[in-house]
Amino acid sequence: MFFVTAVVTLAGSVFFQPKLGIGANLWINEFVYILLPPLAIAGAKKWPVEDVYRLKVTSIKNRIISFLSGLCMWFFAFYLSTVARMLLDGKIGVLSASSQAEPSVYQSILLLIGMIVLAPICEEIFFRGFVQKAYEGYSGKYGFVITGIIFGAYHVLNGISEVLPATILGLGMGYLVYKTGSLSASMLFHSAANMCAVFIGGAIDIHTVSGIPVWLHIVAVAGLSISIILLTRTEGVAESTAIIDEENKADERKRISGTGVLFLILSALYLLAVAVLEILARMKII
Amino acid sequence: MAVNPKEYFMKKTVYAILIFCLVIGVCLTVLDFMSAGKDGISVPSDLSKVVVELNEKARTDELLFTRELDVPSIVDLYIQSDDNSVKYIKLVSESDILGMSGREVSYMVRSAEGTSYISSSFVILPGRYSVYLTSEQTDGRIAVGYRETAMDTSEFERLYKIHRGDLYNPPEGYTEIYSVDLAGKSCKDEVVYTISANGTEGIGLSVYTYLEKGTAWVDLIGEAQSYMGLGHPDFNRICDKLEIALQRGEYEIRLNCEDAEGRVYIFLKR
Repeated sequence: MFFVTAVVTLAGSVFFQPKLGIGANLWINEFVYILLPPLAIAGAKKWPVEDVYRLKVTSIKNRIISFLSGLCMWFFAFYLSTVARMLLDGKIGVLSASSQAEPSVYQSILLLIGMIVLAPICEEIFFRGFVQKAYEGYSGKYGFVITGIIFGAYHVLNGISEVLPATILGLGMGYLVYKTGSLSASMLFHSAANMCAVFIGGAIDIHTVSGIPVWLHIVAVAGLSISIILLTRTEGVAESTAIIDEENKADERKRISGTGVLFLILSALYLLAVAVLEILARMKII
Repeated sequence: MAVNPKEYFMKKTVYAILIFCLVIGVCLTVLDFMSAGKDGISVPSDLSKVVVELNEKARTDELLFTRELDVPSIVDLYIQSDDNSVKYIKLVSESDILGMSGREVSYMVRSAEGTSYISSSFVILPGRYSVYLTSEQTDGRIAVGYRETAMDTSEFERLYKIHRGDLYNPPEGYTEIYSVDLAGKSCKDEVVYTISANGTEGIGLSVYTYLEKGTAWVDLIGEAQSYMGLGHPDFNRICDKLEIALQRGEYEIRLNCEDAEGRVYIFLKR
């Protein structure tokens, strides 16, 4: 399903974005390609989404920690993204700027709500609720690591420089869900990080010529450190981690199917192809 | 197993937010379509705009709007039209426009809608400026968007000195790579500086020209004859802090001048 989602997100964006605008396209991506499949599968299989996708509340302490942790970790993710973009610009080439008209006020509102409210809910249900749950079945407590990598790889659609930052954020969100057994924690983390991207990321304009300012090095390291400290302070739900470990032990021979492996390879090849296209575009070959 | 009511609360909350988002999203998308259909052309929302129906009459230098600037300001002008006939938009200022020899600038406009538009930014000294339209009677519209932003005082003072002929006022971090007193000089594509980029490299360029007579301008030419004009003798004598990402290769900064009296300064940041 991840493969299909990755393909239709790109194809859909190419088709809908010029017609409907960047904001409306984001909503289609979130509602149709990311949220609908896991909910449809849950409906068809009559799964209780509260349990299967862990749509459960967590303690107030965990919610505050998750939100603050998301805020802090964003600065490190932004730093990684900036460094990666500068390296790519310097070593391979600069992407030509596309001349897009500025979004209208309605598109801007759609984009704002889409990033701060909709994306955290839909992507968390898909990645942490659906994908992570599936991988916990194969690899137990390491499911969140695999999901974090998949989440990062998916963001190659936003550019190669976004892969590593998204992976780091994905690992943080996956860990929260693993530890608290609740999607509300990762949704708050995700929302806080996206909030920073919208309100702070848009305001910071770092060019290759001026280089990375010293303050960003300091803020990035501090952000990561505080975020990790906060994550270690989350209250674990014994039930959550125990269930995962128990399921893992009880079904030790559970292995990913051949079709699953095939689609995982296809997904990797597809996302690799997207990255190669970006590199070729940077080299002005296409 | 008894279900914790809090678990239902989370599910209900998430579904409620999603339904709310869906309704809001549909409404905003419809509003966006309606506003786009109404305007046909879309000027960014943070600009004030004047939209003119071209089918009402033919116009010759008809005043669209007049503005009064109390402080030196950056004036952004943004033009779109859904009609392909030739129209002229003219900006006339009562005070100096930095980097320009005159106080008037004119644009020829044909069809420019969707993602295409004509835009320009000027630094205008305090005083009044007006925008005029010349067009034939035809179906369609033309929209002129404008925005005024008060300029940072120290930055304005630096640029104003350059405008008045004191060219040695580079931005912070820039170093002089070439300067010349033109003194009746004539030259064609004279290479005054070469930049070698080992990999893709971001550079900053500032080119200042002051002319008492004649004409002079500076170009940046790449190996594949990629070309970039770094100013214009009449309309852009101050090319300030232009940031360019150069691909690997050799680039030449070339000077052209004809019977010119004045000076040229070039500053580079690497």
